[in-house]
Amino acid sequence: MSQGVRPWPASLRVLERGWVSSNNIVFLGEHETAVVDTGYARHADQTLALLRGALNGRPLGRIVNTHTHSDHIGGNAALQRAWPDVRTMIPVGEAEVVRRWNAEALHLGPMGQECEPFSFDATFKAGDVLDLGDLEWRAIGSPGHDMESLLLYCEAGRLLISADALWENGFGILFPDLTGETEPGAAVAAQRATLDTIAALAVERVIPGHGSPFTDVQGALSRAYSRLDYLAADPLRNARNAAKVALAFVLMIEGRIALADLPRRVAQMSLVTRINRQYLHIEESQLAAHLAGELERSRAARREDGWLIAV
Amino acid sequence: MADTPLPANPVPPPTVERRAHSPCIGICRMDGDNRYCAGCLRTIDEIAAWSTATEETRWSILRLVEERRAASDPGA
Repeated sequence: MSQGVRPWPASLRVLERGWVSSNNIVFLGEHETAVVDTGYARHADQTLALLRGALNGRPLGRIVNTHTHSDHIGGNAALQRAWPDVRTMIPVGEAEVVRRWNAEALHLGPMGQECEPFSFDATFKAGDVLDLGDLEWRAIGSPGHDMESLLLYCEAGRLLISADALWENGFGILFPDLTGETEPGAAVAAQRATLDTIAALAVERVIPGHGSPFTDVQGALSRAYSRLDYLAADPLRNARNAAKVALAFVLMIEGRIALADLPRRVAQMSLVTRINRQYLHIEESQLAAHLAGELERSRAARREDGWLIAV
Repeated sequence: MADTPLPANPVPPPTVERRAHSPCIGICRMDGDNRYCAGCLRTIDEIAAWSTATEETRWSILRLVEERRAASDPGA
């Protein structure tokens, strides 16, 4: 624990999840409760159980999403069913893809991921101030991992909800450079600007989208800049990593995938096949085996008895 | 929802190198008895406590997880 870090506000609880479901940040205001980000759809029952525990009998008043990837919005529909009066807010730039349920923009089918559709009541934009847990949180644009993602900054508490723009060790994959959503390299440049924005804030504690909250903000920023320099030096690095992580994510959710079924599963992940066509140039019939090998080399999986098993 | 109480006298504080890592493996659903997570073998209360738990508490949760894993898998 660093010296001089303010204690946690009593109105805030962090439900730390894992690398599939995002963390859920719960706010217990005097008059209203809220949660920021709701995890992956398949984990919604556990999200609900954790949230019921944290709310201690109070109803959920508000759902806020930092961005609309499946691991941050997956519990929205289940929470809306459990608390029919809950109001849901998403970043203004994500409104259209959610309204139209654009599976490609939401990274669902193209990433082999699932999510139950949900409705929203309001949008928020950079500069807006949200009252969460009786604290003021300013929304900050954070393009890079997702061009429309918004961070939440509480200046009085020196707290930053950093979503997937800054983790203790790195940041989320820079997808827009790979999906065709932006000019190649635009997401790398945007991520650098986002790190600069974070570096200019007075922050003592970061609540990331994944992993434990941390106080060594300078250390995290320095690791993030190094990682960004590494990725910026060769676009193939972001591409190779994204293809590998996309498969690792699906493998973590399912625990194991039959090797015989792997080529079909990989072929369905259109973002992965797109990355292959543009960057990797691996013979299509060899792509699944290639990615399985990459996961084994990074110790994320092992092959055994006809299965690819998450490690 | 309180489950097995944490040991009164947990393991000594670990060094930085032995930082406790979350046992979450992304299989986030409760088992048939609604007692432990089928993936990480923690209770709802232990998962909820993790983010702000001290290293000592985290290690004591990890020890309980190991005990549960051994009890549920005699071959391990």
